[in-house]
Amino acid sequence: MAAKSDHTGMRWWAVAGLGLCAAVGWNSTRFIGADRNIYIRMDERLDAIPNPVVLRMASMGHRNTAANVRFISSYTYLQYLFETGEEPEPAALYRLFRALTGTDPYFEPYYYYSALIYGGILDDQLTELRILARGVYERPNSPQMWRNFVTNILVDYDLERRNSSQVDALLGVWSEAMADAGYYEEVGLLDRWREVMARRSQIDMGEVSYWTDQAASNEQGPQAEATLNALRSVITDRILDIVNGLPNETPLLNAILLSEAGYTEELNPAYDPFGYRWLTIGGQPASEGQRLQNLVHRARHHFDRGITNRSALNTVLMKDGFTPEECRFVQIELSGRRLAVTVPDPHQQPWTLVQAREWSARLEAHLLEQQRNDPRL
Amino acid sequence: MIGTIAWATGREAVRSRSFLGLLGVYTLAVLGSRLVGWLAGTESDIVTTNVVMSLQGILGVLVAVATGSVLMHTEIQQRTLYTVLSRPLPRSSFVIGKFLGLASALLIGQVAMLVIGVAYLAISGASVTLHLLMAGLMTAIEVIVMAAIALMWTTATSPLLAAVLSLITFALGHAVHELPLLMYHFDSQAQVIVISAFASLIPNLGSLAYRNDAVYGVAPGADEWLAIVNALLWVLVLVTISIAIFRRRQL
Repeated sequence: MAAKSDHTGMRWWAVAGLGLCAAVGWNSTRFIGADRNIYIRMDERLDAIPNPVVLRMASMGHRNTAANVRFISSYTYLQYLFETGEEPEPAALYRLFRALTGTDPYFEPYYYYSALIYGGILDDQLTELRILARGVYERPNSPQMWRNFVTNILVDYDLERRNSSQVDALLGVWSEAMADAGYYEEVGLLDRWREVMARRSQIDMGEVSYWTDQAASNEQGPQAEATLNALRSVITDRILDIVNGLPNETPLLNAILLSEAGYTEELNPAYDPFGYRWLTIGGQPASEGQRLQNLVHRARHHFDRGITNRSALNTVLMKDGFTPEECRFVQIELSGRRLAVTVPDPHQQPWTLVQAREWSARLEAHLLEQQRNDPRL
Repeated sequence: MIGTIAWATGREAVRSRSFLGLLGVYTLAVLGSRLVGWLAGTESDIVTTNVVMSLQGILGVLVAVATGSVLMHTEIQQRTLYTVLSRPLPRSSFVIGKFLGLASALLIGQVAMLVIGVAYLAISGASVTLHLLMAGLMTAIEVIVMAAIALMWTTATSPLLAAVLSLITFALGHAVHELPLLMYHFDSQAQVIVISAFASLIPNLGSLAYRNDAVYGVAPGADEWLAIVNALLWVLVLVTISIAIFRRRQL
């Protein structure tokens, strides 16, 4: 009886084994010979994503894993966006980003993917920057996150040209964060970067080049003189910037010497690009021509906004930093109906476009030479 | 006597097939965790580590609830409880002994899971730090708190209901951790007081989920140590409540 029972039991096992083989074989046909193509999902229910706090609650202490699973679920959709460039609904995408980073704020790929989609596909550089800034806030010791953030600022916003001191401050914060995290090699690279940037900012003629091009393209037009004046003003700013950055020397003399650096026979270095004198106001060098230009603009600005009384106009102009002597050039005529600003003639002809261009090239060469010989650099 | 009951309970649990079966299931799941990392397509090591740490917590809590909710019922059903209580043994000692036995068995299981998980991560090339060990130990404490919760419910109700109530308490225990982030939704101060009072009655299990930070190498701070002290206090409170209920129970 026992032998028969064993025999019957074996038969059940045999039938079960055969059934299992058949089921496994059937299932495996789906995988054998299947192409290893990337699965593309063309839609995603981004509107069904909950608030990050709710997602954290629902994850019951496993928020990283929950966010990872949500990311995997969206991954093929995000990949589809990259490959096709199709634009998703920005608000829904931002909801996905918020849910992922709010649930697991330290997982860096969330920031990289979102920034790529916003910057590369939606062309929304501000949100891209905001996302990367949030990434740096959450992961201040991540070199990769910093690199993405700073690259974005330098490339998309051209911040080094617009405000190199801000970039220097940013690199300083980055360097401190890397030192805290023990990435000393990164610190060395950043210090080198700052040093090179400091040199570059000394000889940066980017804005001057831009206005030179503008003046050249407007040479025959009605804006020719205004554009040329803008170029003269930019050159003056550049000289004053450099002079103010130089230590231990007479600022006015420096301004004159910097003008002399690009000296041509037609130009007297004692005069600014507008043909007026270099001045010292409050111990700082200034350009008389640039001040008179600004006086005309500011007086016109205030007059157009209803300040038609002589003494009131003088008061606001003095608040703008003009001296009483300069205010005397401003006259109000026809009982407050007309403004006349009569500035003295320049001491020499203002710089022409050709002279400005030649002077810029000479100054750049001079600054480069100065840097090469400067033992501090 | 407490030690004898604890030793017997713990030994029985550890020797059981289900205990070893559970470790086997955990090991298989850990081996499969790398698949999730590959699916993520990026930062595979971090995703795998998240999954491994989560598996320890999820399986540990399920086992704590499953075993804790039948702890007393099995003794009653097998009539061993009457044999034990016929001796000069206070009911409180019986409850404490049973809980200590269960807790030590769960702790052994948790340590075994942690060793298997961390070893797998190390072998598969993921970064393993001391923070992960700390996170694993905090998960073990979370599991012991869940055992105390299950014990409390099982002394008061049937095993099935105890299991359901334990899982609800588990979900609420994590929800209350995030509740302060939602306080701005409440309109009046009265609502805030009522909801705060209710939430304070539930152990804050979310504060023990240090695993989420440990994966990224965030060092444990004062909050983590305070969470451990708080959890141990809750274990004491829950076991005391269980004793109070069990003492009044008609057997």
